[in-house]
Amino acid sequence: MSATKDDVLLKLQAAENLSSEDPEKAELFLRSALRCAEALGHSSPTLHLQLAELLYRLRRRRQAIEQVREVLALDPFNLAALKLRRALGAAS
Amino acid sequence: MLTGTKLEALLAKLRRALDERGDAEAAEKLFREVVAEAQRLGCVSAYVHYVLAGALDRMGKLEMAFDELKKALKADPLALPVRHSFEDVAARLRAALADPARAPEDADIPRLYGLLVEAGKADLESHLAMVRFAVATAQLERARVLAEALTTLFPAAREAWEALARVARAQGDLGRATAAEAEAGLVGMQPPLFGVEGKAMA
Repeated sequence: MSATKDDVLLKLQAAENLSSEDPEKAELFLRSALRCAEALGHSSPTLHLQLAELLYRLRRRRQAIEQVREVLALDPFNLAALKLRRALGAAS
Repeated sequence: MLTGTKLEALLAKLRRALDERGDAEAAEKLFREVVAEAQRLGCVSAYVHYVLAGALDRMGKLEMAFDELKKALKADPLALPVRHSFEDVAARLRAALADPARAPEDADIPRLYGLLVEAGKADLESHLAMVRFAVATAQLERARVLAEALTTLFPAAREAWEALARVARAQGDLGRATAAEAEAGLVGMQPPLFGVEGKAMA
C-alpha cells in the first residue's frame, strides 16, 4: 500500500520528536519520509534541511553537504541552508 | 536553477530585510521585492514566504501572514515548521472571529470567515459567528442555510441547534424552531456513565 502525505507528515513529526534523544532513529524516519515523499512526487526543501541538520549534528559532514545541496537546488533562497553550508565549510 | 550575481543580489536584499529591526514596513517592502523578483525568475521560495509571514505576524498583520503561510505550504507542503505556524495563525484568526467582544454585525466577519473556510480551518464557533452576522445584517435565508448545514456537520452541538432555532424563529418558521429547540434539549441529556444512576456513596 502506498504512503500518503499524512504518513509522511507523521514520520517527520516522529523524527522531530526523536532528534534529541535518538538521532539515529530520527534519521531512519527522515530517510523513510524522503522516500515516501519522492514516491508521491513531492520535493521538499524543508525535509532535506531537517536531514542535513541532523547529519551535521551526527558529524557526517559529507552526507550533510549532499542534503544542503538538495535544499538549495529546490530553494536557493533558503538562508538556513546557506548558513549550514558555511558551517560545514562547503563551497557553493 | 537560479545562480550567479542576480541570486547574490536577492540574497543580500533578503538578509537586509531580516536584519531590519527598526522599520518593519521597510522590511516588508524588501521581502515583497524579493518575492516578486524571484517569481519573475521562475522561483517560488517557501522559505521567503515563511519568513515574510513571520514579519507580518510580528507587525500584527495576521491575515496577510496567513496568506503568506498558505503560499509557503503550497510551495513546500511537507514543511513542518510552516504547518505549525499555519495552525497557530489559523487558531488566532478563529479566536479573533469568535471574540465575544466583536459586534455580531462587524463588517470584518465575512472576510475572516471566508479566509478560514477557504483554508479548511473554520470550526463550529467560526460558523456560528457567521450565522450571527447573517442574522444581524438581515440575511435570514443565508443564516438558515448555514444553520441547517451546521446541524448536519455538528449534530451533537447544542449551539448549532440553538442557532437554527433562533434563525427559524426570526423567519417565522415556528415548527422548525420548536423542533430545533427540542433537538438542542436532547443534546444536553447525556446517558449516565456506565449506566449507573444516582449519587455515589462511600
